Amino acid sequence: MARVGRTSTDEGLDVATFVVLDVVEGPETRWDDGRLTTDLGAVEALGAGSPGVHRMQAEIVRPGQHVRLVNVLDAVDPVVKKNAPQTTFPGALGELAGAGVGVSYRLDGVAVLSLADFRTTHDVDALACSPDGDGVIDMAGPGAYLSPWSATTNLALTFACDPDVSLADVDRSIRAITLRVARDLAAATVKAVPVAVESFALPPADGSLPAVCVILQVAAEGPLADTFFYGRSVAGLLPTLVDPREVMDGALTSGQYDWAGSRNPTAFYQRSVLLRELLARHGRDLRFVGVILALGYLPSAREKERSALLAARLAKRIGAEAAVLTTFQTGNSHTDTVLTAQACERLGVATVALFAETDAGLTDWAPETDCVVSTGNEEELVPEWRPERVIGGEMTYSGRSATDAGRLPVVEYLGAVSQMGDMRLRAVTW
Amino acid sequence: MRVVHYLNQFFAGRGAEGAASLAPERMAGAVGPGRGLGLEGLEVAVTLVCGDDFFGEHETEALRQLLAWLDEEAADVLVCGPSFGSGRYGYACGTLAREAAQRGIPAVCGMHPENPGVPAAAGAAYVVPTGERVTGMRDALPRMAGLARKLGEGAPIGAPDAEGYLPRGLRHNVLDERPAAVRAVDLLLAKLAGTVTSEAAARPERVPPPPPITDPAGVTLALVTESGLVPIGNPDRLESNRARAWLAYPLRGVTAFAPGAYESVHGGFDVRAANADPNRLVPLDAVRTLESEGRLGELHETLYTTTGNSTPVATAAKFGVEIAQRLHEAAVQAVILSGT
Amino acid sequence: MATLTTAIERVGIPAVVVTALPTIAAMAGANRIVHGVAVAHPTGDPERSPADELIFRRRLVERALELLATPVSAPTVWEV
Repeated sequence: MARVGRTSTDEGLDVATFVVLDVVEGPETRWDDGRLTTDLGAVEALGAGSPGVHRMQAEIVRPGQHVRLVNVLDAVDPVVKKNAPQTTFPGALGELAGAGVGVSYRLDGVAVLSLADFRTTHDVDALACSPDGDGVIDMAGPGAYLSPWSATTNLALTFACDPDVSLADVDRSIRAITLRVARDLAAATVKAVPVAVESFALPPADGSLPAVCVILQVAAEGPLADTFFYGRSVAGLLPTLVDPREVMDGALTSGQYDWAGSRNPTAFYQRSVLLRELLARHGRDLRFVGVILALGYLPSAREKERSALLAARLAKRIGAEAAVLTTFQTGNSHTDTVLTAQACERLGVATVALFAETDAGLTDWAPETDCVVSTGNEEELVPEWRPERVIGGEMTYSGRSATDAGRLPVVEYLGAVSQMGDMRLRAVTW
Repeated sequence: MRVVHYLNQFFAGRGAEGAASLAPERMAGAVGPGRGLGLEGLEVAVTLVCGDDFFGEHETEALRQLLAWLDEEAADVLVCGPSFGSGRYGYACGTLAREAAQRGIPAVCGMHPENPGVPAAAGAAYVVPTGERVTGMRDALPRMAGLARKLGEGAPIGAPDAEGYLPRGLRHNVLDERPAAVRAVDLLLAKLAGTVTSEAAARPERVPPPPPITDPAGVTLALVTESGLVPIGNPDRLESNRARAWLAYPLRGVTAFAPGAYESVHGGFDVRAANADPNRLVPLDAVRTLESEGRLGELHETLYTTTGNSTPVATAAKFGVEIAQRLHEAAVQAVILSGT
Repeated sequence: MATLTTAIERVGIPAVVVTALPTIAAMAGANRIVHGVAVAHPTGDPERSPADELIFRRRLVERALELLATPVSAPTVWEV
């Protein structure tokens, strides 16, 4: 029979997961059946010589320790492209190549964290958009459950910055080093035999199933407040269609350090519960037709409306009958989500939106946002906890001592009210 | 546990309407219904009394005295009423309870769900629902005592249904079985199938528009802003987000906001354009020009400023009430409010 | 923003909100709204020359005064 053409152009992404049960220090980085050994000296040496980084300290932090991490910038899941490791995190760290295809090896149970107290060396307030600076992870205590990284063993990289180098350049170094450490840790597994392999495929599916897309909100507000797509700031991004597997495989990285609870650390793009859920249900009770990246925090009504319109039209064009709208951080980005929901509904694309709330409820709404998922009240105060040790600085942004910070609001905990939906927190009226 | 009990003139045995203008008093031990609390195991250390009319007409003064006493008495918990269906008494109970709770002293009231004191408690104090009439006293006291004891002990308080209080309208965090993303997909598919459910609702609050000013040429206009505009150096340390205060700055003799003399501390946008010309946030120069031409009557002498960056609505509402009161007292007739 | 305005209007003083996000202000309860330039500079426009900008701002305030003098029954948004 003559071939009439390829049946599918879907290349697929295979992800092999290697579980890490323990992390120890040792002379070389290796993974042996669940034990990850890492050469902390070699890791710290990676920090030397990068512009703007005076010194980098690497330490292993474990769940249950009475340790509080503050000034956490990003969390990254260790991953490496098995057959082309030099393309891991393409554009942001590695050579440019299409993400979301091929074979990735990743570690589960360990994360790489970057920490830096920029205020000790730089005038953060001089930035166009000065980040809040609070990114707390409590490895034990009443606030531990708010961040997923209280349950992972973390390789915490604390950066001491050079005040003579611009914050933008310092941050560029920090991000590159952090991604590099994450890749190198995962690279310890490349010779291991994968046992748990997930294949993420999007084959043609039954046309009677509802077509669902995601409109994934990202933001770019200048240095220390940026998101990167293949290593390029998303500033100026018009709504853009991407494959969910690209998002999960290193195409999106975070350079955003404001509002720890409601922003997306890199790891949330990598491990996204939302994208994985839709991929798993593709062909079962829905068809997953794509992910649209769209900006939040657009600076004027017209720009917000334009982006909302374009995102909705793109959703329609790819055949979506319904869209999941995620939100990025706190404040007027919620307006971008609401306007996008309105534009979608007007075009016949049904929407659900994810929002974190405040004590008074939603920040913004419209008649069209009739289907909202609450990711929790970010202002609720967490019972106080006095850790034995603090990593990442001595003071929280608000000027309180990190060992005696009193009750912190939920939003200061990294990932706590993730509006990509990774967490189980939810607000109800009491 | 030190329990303080608040009563009005009637329940304190000081008389009915005639005594309604009674100024605040402090009495040792339990009085009237307070003895009923004692029978439920809640010993009242101090009773505070105020006439309902006094409270209504001199709220600031009454609160100042009552809160000062609460502070002196080192109260662990405050019980107010029960005030049943009595509106003035309920308002006093709800207001005092709210102020105490916001200062860290947990407070419980008891009143009918439609009593105007319920919104006065404003989500800070707990309100145990009662009937409208005093005959409900024997039913109300044990329920108020039970909740008050837990609050005084610092025990965690559960859901409204479980603990017997009216929902306070606060958005309280719980852990769902499913991550939010999974709930989102489920809700979306249900919506497509015809069932629309939401985990959060809008609560818009509309005030009807006041009538227009009749004569712009004669109007007293005030400028209010939530753009974070402050004198350079931010002398009073206005926060760049989650503002804890609003500030008032004199405009007498100021014809324009000079760059270098004023700046914005708002943390939610790029302040460079505004700092190059702060009139881009509050249009003072244009207002002064029109004033000097007689196109508007007079600019009120004070600028009211705060940072509207993720201010909780409850805080913004409080600021609004306070600023509005100042404007009202100064006979301001119109406002231009610049927001970001 | 709308919350401040609501409180001011509740005591009977008409208020005009100048904002770059008028539909949001309307949704949240503001009644008289003049459409401002941008989030970062609602009452100014750095794209204009200084002289033009002053003229523009004056016109903006005049519109605000006009709107204050106009009866409205529902959220009303005016352009400059």
